[in-house]
Amino acid sequence: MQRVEVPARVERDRRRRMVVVVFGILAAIAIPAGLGIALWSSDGSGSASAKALTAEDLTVTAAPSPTAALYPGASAALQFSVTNPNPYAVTFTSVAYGTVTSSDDSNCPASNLTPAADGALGTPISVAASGSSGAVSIPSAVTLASGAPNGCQGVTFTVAVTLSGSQS
Amino acid sequence: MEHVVARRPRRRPRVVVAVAAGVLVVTTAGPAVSLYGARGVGSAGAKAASLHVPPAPAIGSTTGLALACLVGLSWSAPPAGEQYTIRRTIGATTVVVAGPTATSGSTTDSVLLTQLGAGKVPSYTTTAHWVTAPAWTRVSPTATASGCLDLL
Repeated sequence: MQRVEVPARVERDRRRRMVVVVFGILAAIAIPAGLGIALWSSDGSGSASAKALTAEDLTVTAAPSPTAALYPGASAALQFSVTNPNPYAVTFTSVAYGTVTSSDDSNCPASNLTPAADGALGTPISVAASGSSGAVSIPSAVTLASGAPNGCQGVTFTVAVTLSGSQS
Repeated sequence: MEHVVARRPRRRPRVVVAVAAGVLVVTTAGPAVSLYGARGVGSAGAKAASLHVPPAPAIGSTTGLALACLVGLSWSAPPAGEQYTIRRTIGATTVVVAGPTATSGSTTDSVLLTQLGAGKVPSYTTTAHWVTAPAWTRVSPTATASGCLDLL
């Protein structure tokens, strides 16, 4: 079998053609894109103003009649609703717990209830723009002490919560 | 027969194409979207369960036998997950007559007449508690076996 070497000049020409083709494609795509940007930046004249709104905190309200699910040593959900005053929807992905209060602190001190660790929500909580979430809950968010006294029966606990998330 | 074998072109053109494609992807990507952070502040609630007040044991009969008063008692079945304990109190002394039990039942309690007297009448209560959390209890109203006093 006899090998025939392609001349170097032919090889160079082939490479040049390829480079030309590639840059041709680039130009074909980039030029219209550039035109688009130019239209955005040059359209209109004079001045106008718009002010960005200031995001407001959403309000978390404890459920008025939470399900009675706590007993000594048991965990239960925290129940609440969220009201969104902002004109955009919000999704919360994490929670931090604060002070616990008891509806009958003399017979059942708040120290009998322990919130879970702060952190990510198992299921994100979404709230519509300028709307309310309705009843929502965070499962297994609190645990009643195994030695909670008899006086804790029927007691309602309130836990301060801070939800964190973003516009969705 | 003559075979013409061309040398493979160098890879540089492919590299150029790949880089160009990357530039295109970056160029055509939209602007980064910035979302407002959000915070919800307030409180949430949780409630402890409570046992229902159980019914007092029913006193069926009080009969005398020698120096004792026999009191017939019965009780209904507790709700699922609960148990009942029947207790008798005379003065300051309280004893368990039956239970804890998760079923309905009946028994006869024998009270020595010597234990009874002015202001000392056998009275009975039902105490309810959860099987899984026996520390919490709820006590029924009191049922009094006043018929025993007639035997004195």
